[in-house]
Amino acid sequence: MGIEITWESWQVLAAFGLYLFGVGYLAWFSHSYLKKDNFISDYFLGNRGLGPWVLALSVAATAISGGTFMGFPSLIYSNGWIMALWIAGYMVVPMTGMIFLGRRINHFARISGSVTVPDIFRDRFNSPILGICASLFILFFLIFNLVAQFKAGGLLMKEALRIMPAQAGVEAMRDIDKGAIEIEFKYGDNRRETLSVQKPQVGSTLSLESSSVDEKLKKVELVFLLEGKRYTKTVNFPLSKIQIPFLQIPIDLGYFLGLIIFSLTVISYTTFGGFWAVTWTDVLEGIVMLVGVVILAFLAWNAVPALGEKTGLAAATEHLKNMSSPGSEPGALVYGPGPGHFLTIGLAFSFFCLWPLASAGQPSAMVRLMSFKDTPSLRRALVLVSSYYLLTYFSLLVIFICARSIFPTQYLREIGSEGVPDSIMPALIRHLAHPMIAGVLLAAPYAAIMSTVAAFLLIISSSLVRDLFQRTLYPQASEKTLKWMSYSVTFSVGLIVMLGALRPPDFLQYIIVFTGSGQGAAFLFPMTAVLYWKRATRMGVLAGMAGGFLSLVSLYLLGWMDNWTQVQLGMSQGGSSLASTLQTCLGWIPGWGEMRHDSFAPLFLCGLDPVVWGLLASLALTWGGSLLTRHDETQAEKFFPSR
Amino acid sequence: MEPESNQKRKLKNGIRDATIVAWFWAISLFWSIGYCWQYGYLIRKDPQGQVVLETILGMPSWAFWGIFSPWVLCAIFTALYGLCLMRDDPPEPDQ
Repeated sequence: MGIEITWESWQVLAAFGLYLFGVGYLAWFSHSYLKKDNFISDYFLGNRGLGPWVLALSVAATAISGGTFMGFPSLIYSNGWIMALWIAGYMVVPMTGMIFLGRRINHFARISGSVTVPDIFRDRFNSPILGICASLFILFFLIFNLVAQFKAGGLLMKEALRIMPAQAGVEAMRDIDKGAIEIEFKYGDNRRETLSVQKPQVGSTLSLESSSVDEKLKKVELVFLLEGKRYTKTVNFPLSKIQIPFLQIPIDLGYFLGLIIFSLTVISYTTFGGFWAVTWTDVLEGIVMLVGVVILAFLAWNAVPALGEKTGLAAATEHLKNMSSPGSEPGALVYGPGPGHFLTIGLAFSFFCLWPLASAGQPSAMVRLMSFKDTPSLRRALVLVSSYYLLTYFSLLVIFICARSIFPTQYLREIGSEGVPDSIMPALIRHLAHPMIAGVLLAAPYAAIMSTVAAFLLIISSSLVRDLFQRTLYPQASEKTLKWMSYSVTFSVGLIVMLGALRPPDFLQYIIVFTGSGQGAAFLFPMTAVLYWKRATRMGVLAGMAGGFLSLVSLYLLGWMDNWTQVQLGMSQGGSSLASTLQTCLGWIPGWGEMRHDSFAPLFLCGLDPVVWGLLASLALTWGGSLLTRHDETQAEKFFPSR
Repeated sequence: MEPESNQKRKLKNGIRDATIVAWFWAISLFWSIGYCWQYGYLIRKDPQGQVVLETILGMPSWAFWGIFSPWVLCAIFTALYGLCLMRDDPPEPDQ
């Protein structure tokens, strides 16, 4: 199968390659930094030697992920200014994420010799079962998250490659039903492929008036007519596909190659250099991200079509004020709760809990806090992280408010002619910047994904090698065995996740919110009790961890069941018997039957996100469970001296 | 292990940090959600039915006062806390 890449894309790839070369150099440098005599602590924790700059940039780079650079922009583009309130909780994240547990967790890890988050739970109560449970919860959430991050990396690389569709001709075009058009393509080797294209959704059914095919640019332009008004939709020729032996459905060649390049890069440097590679590349990635968003904000600001005397952000806001989003009244893009009641006040409250509290409860953030050198490093890093978040999130808001006025409808899910909202970030970069600059700018979201993936890979690997193998199954393992275990486990986990991402799930942002809030609900209050409460007991902490996990997962499961029930009941009158039974049995739950934006969305019990209920359950169970069980005074004395 | 009084002091510093952070979060939440709910959740229209929007620095005024300003204030407070108010601990030896 021939692969056709344009000259423009080669330039993007050249600039991108320079960035990857920098990452490779840092991995090699970090590998030479690893000590032979204390391998585990060095590989997973960097021997607790992070200074302020490295700590700040690695905390920021780990927290800012594929969701920040792919999912969040698509939500700003689709929902407008209300997204400022959605993300507003980040104003306190530096304090909650670094100071709430920071000093104490670092001190605690030093006196107990803990290397991982499960180590802390285990060492505080001398309880292997607590360590194992913490490891399993971490594995569950992080593997979910990694598949989504790998997908984002593959999509981004696909956009950098932009492989041209294969040469084809349009054989037939059929108006198959009220919502879609079917286009049949024929290739040179007589192979045929049919593409189903959704019609623009403008409230009424459109009929196809005319079409034109541009075989050179490999595009079909469809023109629809409704009450004298024309709607056009551009459809690209189908992308080349590749058949993977164990997958039944062929996958997009561009995505496949993108995923392979992304996976090999990130798995290699994480495996080879361990914690130091992850933190040093985080520094590079943190700088690339910040420079990238600031340059892109400047470009987007200047590209907004002027409106009278208004230019830049003022003009963009004015454009949004006058736009009407599908299914919403004018003004929905500049006022709450946003198009389609996107952010009700209950959800705004939930997200103000989610970002600050869940980020404090993330094991990936806790590991960073266990590894800083001293409190002056923490204090200085705090200042840097705070400025970093302010600059990054406001730049992103500005960029994608401007993007909506540059592409008023082209990337909307319902009527978009160019693509889906998730691709707005790379598409905007390629629209605004020279290919060489675009390569550097595309490195920003790529860096965000890489830094998160690398940190998570290392946490999963440490859970398996340190918590399950070394401390539970085989305590006598030699340094050499542990070293090769660490390398091979990190590499294998990466490969398994890559295979999972070959057929990725559709809901990038929801998966990231799900895993982030899940970790926060399971770990924040149990860890707070471990660190600050002398009276906490093993059973209380275990109950809090399990309670937070189960309540959050249950609400997501209920949401999926409700979404399925709604689809089933909507498809046929009365629906299937199972759907009717579920509707009868669960219809009393507050929030059941409400319309959701996505089929992965959870049940919003009383209008609140599951993270609020998960945190409340975890708090109540940690507190109540500890009071109801006996605590070990002698064990607590080591960490809570009476004098 | 170091003298117990030193460890106790570190624990107190940690509790002080955590308490300040909890108040900081609660106040920010109260202001941002309260202000935006009051001024950002009702689409204002003129008698002709046109959307009316007051902007400051190109952003809706509810976003400026409810999100942007408190965010800048939070960053200033965080910097002050990190540079002046937070107490230092001597580092622990790794066990």
